[in-house]
Amino acid sequence: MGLSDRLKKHFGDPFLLGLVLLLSLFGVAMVYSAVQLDVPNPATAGAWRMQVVWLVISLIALAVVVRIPVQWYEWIAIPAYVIGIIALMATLVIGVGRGTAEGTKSWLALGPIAVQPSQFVNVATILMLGRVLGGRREPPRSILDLWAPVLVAGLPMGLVMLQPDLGTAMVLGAVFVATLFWSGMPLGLLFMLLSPLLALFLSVSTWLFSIYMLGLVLFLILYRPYLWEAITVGAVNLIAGTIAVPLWNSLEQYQKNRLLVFLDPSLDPRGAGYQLIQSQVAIGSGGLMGKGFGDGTQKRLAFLPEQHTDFIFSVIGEELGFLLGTVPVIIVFGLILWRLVRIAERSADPFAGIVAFGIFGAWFAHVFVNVGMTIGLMPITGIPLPFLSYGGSFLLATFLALGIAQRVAAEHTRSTI
Amino acid sequence: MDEPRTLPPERRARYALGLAFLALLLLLLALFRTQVVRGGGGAAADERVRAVPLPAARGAILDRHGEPLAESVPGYAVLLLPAPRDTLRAVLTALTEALALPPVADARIDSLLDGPPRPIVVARGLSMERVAAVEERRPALRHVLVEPWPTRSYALDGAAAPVVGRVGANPAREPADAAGVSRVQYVGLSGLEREHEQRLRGTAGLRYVRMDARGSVVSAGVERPVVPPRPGSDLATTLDRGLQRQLASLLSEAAGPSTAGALIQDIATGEVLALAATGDSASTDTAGAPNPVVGTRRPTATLFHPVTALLALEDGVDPQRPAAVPCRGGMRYGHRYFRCWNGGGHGALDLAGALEAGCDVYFYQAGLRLGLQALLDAGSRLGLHRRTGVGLPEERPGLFPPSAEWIREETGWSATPATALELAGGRGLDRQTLMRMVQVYAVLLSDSAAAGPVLVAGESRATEWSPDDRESRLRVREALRRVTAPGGAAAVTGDRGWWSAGQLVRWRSGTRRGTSWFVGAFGRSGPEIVVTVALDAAASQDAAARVAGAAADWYLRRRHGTPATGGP
Repeated sequence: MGLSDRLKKHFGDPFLLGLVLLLSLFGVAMVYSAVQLDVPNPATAGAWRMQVVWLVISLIALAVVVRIPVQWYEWIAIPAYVIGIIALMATLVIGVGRGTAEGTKSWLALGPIAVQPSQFVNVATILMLGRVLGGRREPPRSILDLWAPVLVAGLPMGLVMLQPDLGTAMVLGAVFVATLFWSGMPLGLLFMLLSPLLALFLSVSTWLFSIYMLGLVLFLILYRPYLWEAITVGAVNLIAGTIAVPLWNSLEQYQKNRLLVFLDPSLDPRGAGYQLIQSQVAIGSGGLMGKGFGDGTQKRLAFLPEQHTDFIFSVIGEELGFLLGTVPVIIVFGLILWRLVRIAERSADPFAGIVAFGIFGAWFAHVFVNVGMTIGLMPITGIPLPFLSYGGSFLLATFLALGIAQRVAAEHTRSTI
Repeated sequence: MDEPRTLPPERRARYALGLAFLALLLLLLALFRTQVVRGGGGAAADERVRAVPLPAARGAILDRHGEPLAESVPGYAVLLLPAPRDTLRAVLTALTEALALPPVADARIDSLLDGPPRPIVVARGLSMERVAAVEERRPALRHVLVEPWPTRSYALDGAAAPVVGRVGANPAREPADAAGVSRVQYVGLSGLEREHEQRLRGTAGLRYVRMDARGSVVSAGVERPVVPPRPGSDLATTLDRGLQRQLASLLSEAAGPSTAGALIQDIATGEVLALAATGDSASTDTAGAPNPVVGTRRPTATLFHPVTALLALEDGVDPQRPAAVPCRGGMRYGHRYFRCWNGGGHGALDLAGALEAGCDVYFYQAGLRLGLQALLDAGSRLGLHRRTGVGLPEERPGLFPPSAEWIREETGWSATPATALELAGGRGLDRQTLMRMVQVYAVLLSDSAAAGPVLVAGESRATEWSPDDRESRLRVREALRRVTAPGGAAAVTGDRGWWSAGQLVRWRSGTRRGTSWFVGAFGRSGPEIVVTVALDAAASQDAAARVAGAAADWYLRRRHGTPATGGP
């Protein structure tokens, strides 16, 4: 057995590990840069040191997690999930807000340390969905077959929505869809499941909604689901499309602005659109080569909000530019996602495969939503960028998920040697 | 239903990777557009850089001896830089407390913050103590700059305000430039300050400060080069600072709180030596009040008699011969009775006697003889319906009909011989400013062609008319000398030993308080200066003559020492 095989046996996917370590160290450097302000902020000045501490803790956790057999994770999925749900319920009572989530109850203050339970609940939900979906003899064939995974994903989603933390809810949604997809659920059924969301968005235009409904009917005829299933899907779509407009009209103008502002930040440039405008200005001003590490003026002058947490990508864009900053980071994330898919693909164990792909879904959502919100492609929901954003509990939860994925890869290696 | 197809893991992986690839490609394309195609350097700079105006030192206004009447002196100003409205509102409230200023009304704050973002000057001319008060509260006062800022200082404690004018903020008149500079630099609002605004104001400069998002100034002059201000040019005037002070003092003493105006002009050169006023227009804090010297028109009454006398002499009137109708307190013409100011009547007077006594009845008859057109022509030649062009923006034209058609259009009735009668007596449609009447008397009393009024040193202007008939002019002058001579109505002016001649508005008997207006010339052995004084609530008709005589005495004593005839 060569060195490569030994590494794979103990650490899973060394390439993935290398990419993550590289990104994490880069993240520490960027957190260090992000807190260098012309008028120092004592509250954030030491953030990079804390990030180093959390990285060390996370690496230790990774080393532990990667040694635990995958089967154990299947066993601990239920208690982890239950504990996570209890923690989420606790946040609704004693939770506090921080950063861009200042107005939420996402955090539990444990003495000097604040923990965001929803980050760990993400991992627990992935494990629980893996257990529920992987334990089936065959993939879901009907919407009725989805009651258990819907319940597993819906409960934490509902609780984080109550906090309210839209970003984490979106990530849980992505995890839910990803695990269903990897469990072998037919694409048509997945489409039927998600179609009411599509109806909700398309109902902004009567023409679009009418065409969509015609297409849906055509799809149901060709796909030939159960009659009750077709009727239910059609009815739910119709209801979703019908209530959307009155629901929208019932909102106050400022509430509409908050939702529309990512499409047009000038609607509220000093309020809801401020963060997006500043982020776009910062990234745009970085240009091709950036302003230089530590020299981002938008950052130094504190125009960038939450620059070391949710908007760390804007700092990267401003200081390192397109060629040296944003493109390499996106490529590295692309490689990480590719390795995760490979791990899921190679895994013979349905639970392990679904868990690995669930992690792919969660990280993909984090990357796409976080980067997208910094340039106005997505609404600002306040979710961090894996391995780069400052945040102890998120870094630890991400490394826990990485450890599980690496263990899945390691067991595959062991089974093939 | 048919059995739905389940994708094998390889295809699932391909689909997932394809989706991820497309999503990341979308992000890259959006980033390429944001960072490379659009860029954002300009927007970023706009976010953090604030333009701070550097006011130009306004040029000084100097008197004829180079002494400053108005100058820019070092001072400090507190500026508010552009920021969100609520932020500025809070800072402005904190600032007014720090500077112990009266609270600013919400509507005023809104008006300040309306329009394009621009710096706002909250207070200027601050002492070091007040600057220190702001600096002590610096951490709480974001978006605030304390800048060296020239302050306008006026000599004579504002005694020259009616002529020098004042400066102040006037955004309505000034178009704002891109940096809003003109919004914060004071502009001339009245007097010479306004008339010579372009020359005095100079060109404001700009510097740029870098601010953080919280409104703290991080550094200065690092983003863009400083545009240095160019100071304005000085303006040398014909005014005499000492005489100005003296005239203002005498006028203020005589007028008290009521409105008054006075002017002294060199009869040969037309140079205005002093222009003083009391009342609202004299205050540097009051805008819009008419200037009593160039903006207020008063009925000329007996002051117009010399003009009629000159015209009558030129028309061949025998100066020794009394008027056909002796004055018995008035005269009937047509169905109207025209009163003389002296209800007791003057009796039969010749021209010199009529001028000395100010007999309206004599000049009514002269007017009837001359006819309306001769009077209108004289009025036009003297510019009685025009501005003198002295160079003060507050100047108003006099009221005098330029033509018979004008009378019909303005009054609705046609001119009659009675119109000439009234004009000849200085009544009816004849109201003039002090400035204009000085020009009229300069024409009447000067030895040669009088010069038009000028305020800026080096300028000169010819009068519109100078009578050809020197003998008639000397005859009128001699008659007017009798007015200021001992026993004359304005004897108070002539008792100091100087050569003098003039006329004053006579009051009807029984008048206790009214406008006292005197116009006359003074000199050592002939006319050198023309002086006019008008007191709108005087206690005697010769009160103005007394002030004029005192001012002329002060000036002539400084110029000549003692009168040629020996003073008292």
